[in-house]
Amino acid sequence: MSRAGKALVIGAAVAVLGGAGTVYAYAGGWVLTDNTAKLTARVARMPRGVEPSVAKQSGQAVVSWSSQEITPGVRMDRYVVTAHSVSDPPRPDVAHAMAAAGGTTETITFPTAEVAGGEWRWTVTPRYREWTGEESTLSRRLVFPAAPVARAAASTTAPIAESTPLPTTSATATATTSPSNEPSNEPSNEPSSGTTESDVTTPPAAEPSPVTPAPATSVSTVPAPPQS
Amino acid sequence: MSKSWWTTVAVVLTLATIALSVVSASSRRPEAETLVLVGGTGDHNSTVQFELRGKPVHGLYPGAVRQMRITVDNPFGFGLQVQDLTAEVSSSDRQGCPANSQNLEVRRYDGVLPVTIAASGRTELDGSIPVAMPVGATEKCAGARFTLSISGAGRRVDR
Repeated sequence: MSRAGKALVIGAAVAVLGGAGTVYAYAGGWVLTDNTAKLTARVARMPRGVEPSVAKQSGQAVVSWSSQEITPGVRMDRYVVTAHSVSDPPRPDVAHAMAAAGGTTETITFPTAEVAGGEWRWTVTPRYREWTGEESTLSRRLVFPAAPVARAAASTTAPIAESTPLPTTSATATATTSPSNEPSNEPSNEPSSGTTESDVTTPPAAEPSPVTPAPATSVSTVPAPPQS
Repeated sequence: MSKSWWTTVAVVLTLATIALSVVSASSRRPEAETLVLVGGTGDHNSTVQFELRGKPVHGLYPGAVRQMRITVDNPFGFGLQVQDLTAEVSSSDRQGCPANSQNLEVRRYDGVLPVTIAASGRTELDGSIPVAMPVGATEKCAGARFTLSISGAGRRVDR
């Protein structure tokens, strides 16, 4: 047989073996492709904070809002509530981070010491674990007359009471989260002049004048001054 | 050419034929074949595929675990025994939220395997593939959409 004939025979044998392997593979053997099934998993969005309702209560600011969920049935675990000063001149913002109480409504109280003598609007920022939502729109404005610094200090026998600064570290002590603590005993339409309440005896410059004294009974860091 | 050469060629061809016969016979024997198949679009042009379908997972958040249910479509005229299912995170639509185990974890199939799917049948598996978002997932993942790739391995059965 010629060389060409031999090559033909060998080629035929190789073709037969290769073809048989392919047939075997597709007849039920191994089949591999990269055409895997694709599915999606969506992550919840962090909601924007809810604009809080605000009310004055015995010289304090009570801020309330509806609790929020990251997904149905899973509520935010924390909120950051910020008091934005709209006074002129403005004062530093006051922010409180608080754990959610778990109810349908969240409430936090800004003590007199923090809000007295200023005009404020509030925002709420929801948080879940390390995630933070968008800050809410500003609440309506509340105006607070200045706090009774001198009388409060004098009642603790401090001879230099008038120079004693207002307590400013009551954030955690006054952060209340009871869902049932709705501010309902205050008028919902506070006048911008803030003349319905006052704890002030020695107001700082450029602050409104005191009117009717009323002790801040729920502020632990500011004892109610005795009436003179 | 010598006779011995032709003898060698003849022997090789004979052995090849015998081998082919054995292979062909074994390929028709039920329970002896393993199909490593993938879920997909069901393109039957050149490869054999069974189809895996999953219900999309929604509402993930840090610390959440969602169960992804899987349905298997068997387009064949023979039974299919699904022996293994695997899944992985393949991509994310957010640049700041990479598709890795720090942001989304796809665990092993949680259920009893193997499961037999009847010929030309469709079965939603009793088990599921847990999809978990770690507590420390980056905030950039809020609102993201992950793509998961699922594949399976099965064996032909003849029942």
